[in-house]
Amino acid sequence: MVIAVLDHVAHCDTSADGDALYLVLHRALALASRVTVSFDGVDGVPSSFINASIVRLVEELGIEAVKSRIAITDVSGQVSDMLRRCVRNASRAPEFA
Amino acid sequence: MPLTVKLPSSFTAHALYRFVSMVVSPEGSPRAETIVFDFRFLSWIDGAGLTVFCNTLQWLAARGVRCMFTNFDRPSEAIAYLDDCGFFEEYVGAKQRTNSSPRSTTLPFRPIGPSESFGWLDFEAIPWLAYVLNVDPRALASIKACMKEIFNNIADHSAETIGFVHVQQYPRVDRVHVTISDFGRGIPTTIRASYGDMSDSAAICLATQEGVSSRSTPRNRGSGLRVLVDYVSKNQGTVDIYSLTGSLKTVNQADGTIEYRETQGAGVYPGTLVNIDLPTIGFVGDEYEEVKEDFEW
Repeated sequence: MVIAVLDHVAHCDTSADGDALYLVLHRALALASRVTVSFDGVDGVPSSFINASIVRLVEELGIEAVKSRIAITDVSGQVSDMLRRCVRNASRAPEFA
Repeated sequence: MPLTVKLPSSFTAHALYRFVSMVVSPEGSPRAETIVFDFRFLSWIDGAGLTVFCNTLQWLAARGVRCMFTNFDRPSEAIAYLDDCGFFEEYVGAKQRTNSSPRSTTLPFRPIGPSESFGWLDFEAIPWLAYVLNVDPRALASIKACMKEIFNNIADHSAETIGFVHVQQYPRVDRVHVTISDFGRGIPTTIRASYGDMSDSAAICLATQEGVSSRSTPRNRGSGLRVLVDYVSKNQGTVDIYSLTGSLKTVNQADGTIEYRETQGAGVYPGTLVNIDLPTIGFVGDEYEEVKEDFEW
């Protein structure tokens, strides 16, 4: 199953946008064992968007489950960097350990 | 009885505490119900000063303070700059000079609310900055994301949910400044709520560290200020942050590291001001690939 982010949110600017993507991914993971998320058309994202979407899934499912079930494609350098930072910061948070 | 506040002769970020202390009491209230701002001694104002001034006027108006202006009808470079930025048209109702108009080196101050900030970024600020920095707009993806972080913080933490932003190019020294300010809880208040007691300047410094977050909203685990500092420093720029009594300035070292200079000010800025200073020559933006990549976990 492929989910193009911009098919489901108009912008990737805020945590509210991230909440909307989270719901889409949450539903998709209930239907499919593996989901591909495409960031085609997204040139950059703030941390609040990633935290509300991808990191929230990491917190719920665990990082290993997310790695095995979610592939992320069509990322710009900035999106890739932000994903890496946010997931790393989440893994350092006391409540995550 | 009206309170008269003389604007500083050089209204830059350095005058921030003195100016605000004349207007805002230590308890965080306006010092008078009517304030007259005297422009008589004003000889220079930059983007940071203008942003602070406008933010203060908006804060006062929100508290029912009547603001008046005097001695602004004299010719001076500072008055002309304010006029060209649209200040007098906005706050007095008329331009001071018939030929006043926005300068090519200025993206004039404007209030930034949650509904218009991102559109302003996409359609005004980023194209303007790309032109000044001589890069493709796609190369500004990181700085755009950093500014979105700041706007999100204003929406999440500011008492007013509206800030002010101003962008100014200084061609003679090959720099451009982006200044964003809001009046609200301030970074230190938010950081202390999660990390305990510390000075305002220490709290601001902590806020720029990777992974440090106010956690003030369920989804907030911030990287915003850290990313901003990293990206700006990579391009030999600097970031100044003022909030409550504290301030922080980044200084780029020759070995590529960043020095953080904390200072406790002699006043209280009831909110946050972020001033981004970037070189217009040699700016290296983001690499943008026509073919995007797969993310490697």
